[in-house]
Amino acid sequence: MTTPSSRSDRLRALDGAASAILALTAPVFAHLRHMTEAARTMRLAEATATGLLPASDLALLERVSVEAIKGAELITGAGMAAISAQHPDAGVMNWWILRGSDVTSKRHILNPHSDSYYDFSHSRWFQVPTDRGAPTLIAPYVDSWGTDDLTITAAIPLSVDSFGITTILAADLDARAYVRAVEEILRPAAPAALVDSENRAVASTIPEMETGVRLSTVQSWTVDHRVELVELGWSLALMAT
Amino acid sequence: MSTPPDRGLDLLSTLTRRVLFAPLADPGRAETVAERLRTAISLGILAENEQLPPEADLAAQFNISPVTLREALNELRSAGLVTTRRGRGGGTVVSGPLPDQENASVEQVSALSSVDLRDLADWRRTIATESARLAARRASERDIALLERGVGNAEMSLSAVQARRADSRFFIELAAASQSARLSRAAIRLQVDYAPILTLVYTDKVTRRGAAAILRTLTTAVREGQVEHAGRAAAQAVDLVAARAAMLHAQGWETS
Repeated sequence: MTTPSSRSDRLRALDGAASAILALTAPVFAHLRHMTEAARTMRLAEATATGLLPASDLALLERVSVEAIKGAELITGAGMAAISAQHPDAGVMNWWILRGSDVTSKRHILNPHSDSYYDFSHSRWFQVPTDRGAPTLIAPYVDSWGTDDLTITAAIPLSVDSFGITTILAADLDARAYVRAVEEILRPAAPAALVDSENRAVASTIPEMETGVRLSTVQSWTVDHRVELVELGWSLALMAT
Repeated sequence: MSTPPDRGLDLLSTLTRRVLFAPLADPGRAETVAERLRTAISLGILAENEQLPPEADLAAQFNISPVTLREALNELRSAGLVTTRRGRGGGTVVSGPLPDQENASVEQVSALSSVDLRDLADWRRTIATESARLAARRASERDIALLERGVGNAEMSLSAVQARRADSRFFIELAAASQSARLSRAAIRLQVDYAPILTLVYTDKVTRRGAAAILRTLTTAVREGQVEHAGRAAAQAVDLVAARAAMLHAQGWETS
């Protein structure tokens, strides 16, 4: 058994936790950058106008997406979505998921008249990185009409081109595995929490501070000290009663 | 390297579809399969021009023999809901014109007893109330933006079908905002069961407006983190619809 740590030990542990947490998703973003490079060569104006990626581009996207899914342990699905200002109702999305040990393509329902319509251009994993113009990690959320499960999405936007096309390369992460890994990392700094850009807990060592909760609603705890994770727009918080 | 085409999996790519296409427990009968497909088409869960999976895959999915499936497809074909092209690139496609959703809904709800309606409303209230309470605690700004957009769609809906779609999506997004995967799955399953009731209830403009107003209050409570308030508004929205459904049931589902 360990004795309770002093505040200075915990502060040091928090700095260590910051680098360990960034290291969790570093391979994910490396794969996404690779996918971004591939996407730059694609005929996206044609794809967003027709709703179909040209065959050779599709083959390339499939190759880099499958590499990402097989290459990074946390990734459960990956792909690309794009929409142009001229055709806001069309858009193109191609996605691959891990099913058992195989990777298969997954098509979303892009017909707005279907009850199962997957409205990707309004989904957070598409909008937040578009608005930020930077690599983004979306804190756990339920992806209705997509995975229909709790998901974390890492995404990189391609800079908007002259055709007004917005393109996002993204990967879904295993939310349960990510939260479990973060809880483990936070333990030496406990009580501590990983907090997203909206001040909601992503993971914490405190039982009553569950994943997703707004810190403002958990009134028995306050933030004693924060370390910013600039790359993610998130922060690590040392908590106190 | 290429992954095989998976039209069969496509069909089942969302939970709504997995619910409708769940394997039949009893030795499958053609009428049951035809009924499930008719529901999927009339709800717009299978959209017009959408291709069904190859017959062998679909039969396996329903756990029925290919002969039984063909019988079911024949029934849908003679009703004009699907067309089948033979040969390469062929297959069965959902065809228009789609059935009138109100008539289809009356057919689906006419078998429900008042006890069934009460049971569905109770379950819906349970899911909606707890979704609202948890969403008030956990919703992200993006969740709230989606809910606000959903309320806008509910307020602007001009038909029963539009109102039903807006309502269904609102409650699924509310469950998603609760961040509970189990609540979300329950909400999606319920959407399939409750859709015909909602369609009939929302033929009435006053009910549509009343429900949209409550959803507005509910969204505000979620945004402001008012847990009890959000829960109460959700129950109120469910009860408004349930009361109208009970009345329509008593009148033999005469909506005009």
